[in-house]
Amino acid sequence: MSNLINRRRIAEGVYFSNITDSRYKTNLISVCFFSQLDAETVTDMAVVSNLISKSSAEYPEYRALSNKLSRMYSASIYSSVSRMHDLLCVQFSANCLDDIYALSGEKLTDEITDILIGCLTRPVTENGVFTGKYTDLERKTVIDNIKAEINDKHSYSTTQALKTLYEGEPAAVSPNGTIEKAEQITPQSAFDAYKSCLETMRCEIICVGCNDFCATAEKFAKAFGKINRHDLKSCEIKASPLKAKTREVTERMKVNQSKLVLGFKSECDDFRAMDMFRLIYGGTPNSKLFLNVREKLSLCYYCAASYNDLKGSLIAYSGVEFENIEKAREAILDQLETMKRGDFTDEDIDNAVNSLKNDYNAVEDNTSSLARWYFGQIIKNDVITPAEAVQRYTDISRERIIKAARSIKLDTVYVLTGMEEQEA
Amino acid sequence: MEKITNSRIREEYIKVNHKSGATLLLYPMKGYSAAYALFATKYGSVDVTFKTKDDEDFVTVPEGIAHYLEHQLFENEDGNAFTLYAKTGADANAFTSFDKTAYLFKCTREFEENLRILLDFVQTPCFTDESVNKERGIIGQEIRMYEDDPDWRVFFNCFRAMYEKNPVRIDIAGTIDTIAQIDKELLFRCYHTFYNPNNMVLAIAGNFDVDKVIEICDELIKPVEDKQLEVIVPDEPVTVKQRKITEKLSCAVPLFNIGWKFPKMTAKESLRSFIVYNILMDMCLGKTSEFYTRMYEQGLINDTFNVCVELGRGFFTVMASGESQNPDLVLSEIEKELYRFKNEGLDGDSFITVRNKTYGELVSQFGNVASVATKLVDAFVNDLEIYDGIEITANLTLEDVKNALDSFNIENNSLSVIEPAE
Repeated sequence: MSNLINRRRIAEGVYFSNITDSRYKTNLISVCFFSQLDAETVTDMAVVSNLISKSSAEYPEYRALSNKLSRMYSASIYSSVSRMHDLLCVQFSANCLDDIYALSGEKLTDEITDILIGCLTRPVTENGVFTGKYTDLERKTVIDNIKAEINDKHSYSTTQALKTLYEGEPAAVSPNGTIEKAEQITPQSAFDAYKSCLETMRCEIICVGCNDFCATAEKFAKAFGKINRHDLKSCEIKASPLKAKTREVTERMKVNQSKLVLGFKSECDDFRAMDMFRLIYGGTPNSKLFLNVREKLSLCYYCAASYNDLKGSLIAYSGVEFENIEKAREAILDQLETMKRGDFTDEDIDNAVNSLKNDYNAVEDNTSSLARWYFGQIIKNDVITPAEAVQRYTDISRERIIKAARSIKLDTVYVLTGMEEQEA
Repeated sequence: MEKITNSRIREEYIKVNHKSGATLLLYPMKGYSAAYALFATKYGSVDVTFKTKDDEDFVTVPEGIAHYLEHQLFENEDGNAFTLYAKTGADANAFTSFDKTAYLFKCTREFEENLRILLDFVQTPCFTDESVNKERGIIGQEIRMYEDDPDWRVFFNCFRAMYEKNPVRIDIAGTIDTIAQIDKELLFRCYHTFYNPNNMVLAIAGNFDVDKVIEICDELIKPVEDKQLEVIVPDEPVTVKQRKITEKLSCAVPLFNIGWKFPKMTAKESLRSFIVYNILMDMCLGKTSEFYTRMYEQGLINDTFNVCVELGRGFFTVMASGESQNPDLVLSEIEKELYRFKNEGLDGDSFITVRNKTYGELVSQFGNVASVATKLVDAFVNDLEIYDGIEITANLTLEDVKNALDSFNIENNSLSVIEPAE
């Protein structure tokens, strides 16, 4: 792995990277713990991520930490749990204005580093575990988050489709966990999950901003030096196998618009060609899906596709009237056939490359998008800059794209639709 | 050409009153790869009643027409504008809000070509009966999508409950019924009324060359006679139309949105009030408040609780939103808390905390090309200066916030609730 981002080991399984650039006005410190998604432990981790980011031994009340951060010109500490392929990613981040903008000369970056490390390593405890009060509150927050998944019908339908697409694999596990598991969480079980996160999960720290982050690196090295890091958990990602028979799932709910998600698999290892295929097929407002399913057939407001290289999966999704589900499904599959026949122009290929160049070159303008980029690269064990990534797309022939298209097979069809009485 | 600077955050940009009548706001940002450009008109969903000097009387058009126009303008003789942007790879889009319509692109290459595409297609309406009919299906699905979105519905229902006449009470995209009334002739009429350079702004932030932009504008923005456009915002009663509105949708936890209705204000008053009321609400109910901690610990609210100010031409509202099993109780607790502050007074320490937070948020926005360009458009639409907010915040006193609380009509609110459908 190259060292473009000054990536260095600071403890067992803990790496620190930084990107320093004067264009930024803020400094971002992002700490990410990785392990394989596991239905048994994921809900505990969701609760832990909330518990850790809202208080610490120095700021034992939520309000005290909120007040401190607000005083630091809207500095923030926040956490998230997310899915990256087969991995759970538990992320704790801190963001603050650069010191030069402080009204009274405060050393904001040093201070926010200390606060973040305090949250991570010195949580509020009673009798050696998390407090009952905060565990109860954050368990309820996690349950509310799980319940709220149905509020956004697009992301809900995608999550549901992925459960079937990746059935039996870690990637099928929702990073928010389940209500049943959340209800069983105790201060002890949450604290055990916290200890296991700190001691056994692979950890990547990425800092982006105008600060040089030397002091930040030293502080993290010192903090992790005191932690007994052992038996590091595996972070294996496997391609998803094609089902013997296409699985069809229909879910009914009181909705006005149906959601259709088609899940595909591919064994093609020419990832760049697959990505080019995805762009031409459903990656831009000039794609086959947008121009045909939306613009020509007027069936929907959105119709697009996304590709996961490490899982070898692709999904195409749209929102349509109940009676148009079949029409949309046919149209989406028809467009796939046109790609397999090579019915796209050299201009389509050039356009796809231009779109990639445009997107990749903008990644560095924003601290969080750059951190996200490098987390993704590190997981793939292939760290390159966005500009270097663009270079890998410049000579992909139409034959390679057609070959990639031909490798794609339908695996799952998921439909979220109205109640039967609504359709009558 | 005028250079506008702010010494406090060491920033500057250029304002040009272009000979076409358009305003150009140009904000080069050193070290950035991307440029973000918006070509926008002061024309949003609330602008349904208007006249120009060519009209005898005011005309009222169906709701949703500004948004329909936004969709239709992407059509051109050869297909649509996305096809043109595809050649450069730019990330292009458009949006319609209550008080503006904006066409935008973000690019890291071929900036000049992208600017040409933008200026050209927005000034070249190409509507046919066929394209208008085709778009109705797409917009219909967009409306359907939002009908299923509880976060969106709870917000718009709140406006419907607060306002009686102001078109802010209607969804930006209109309804299936109103878009059925929109045809080619109406679209052309609204286009020629509102897409006049005198009513428009080109705002660009990031990596670009100012002289080149002016050169391209000289070539491409066609001067049009100022038609002395007048838009009517209907007189609105000061009190809310109804106190509570409820809808059932697929969701698990009830969602609520409480809106306090204020009398309409001038643009200058609006910005000052925007900052003052944001700070006031944050002090009384925000994450640093005793109220938030108590409600959160009682489980009456969760992480989604938020306070904000929404404003635009002819309306100004303060809002509190979130999820709760008992939204009525949340409202009554909020009212009690605001009365308590009114009686007992505000705390100076908490004022400094929240003022610093607000200042930090405002300064951070200047580190992002998209937010700078969008702020420039907002400043134009509201006849303001982009740095006004920072200066108002830096000079604000506790007394200003106290005065705002004194004049706050705590009970002039509407509660919008989305309950889970059975």
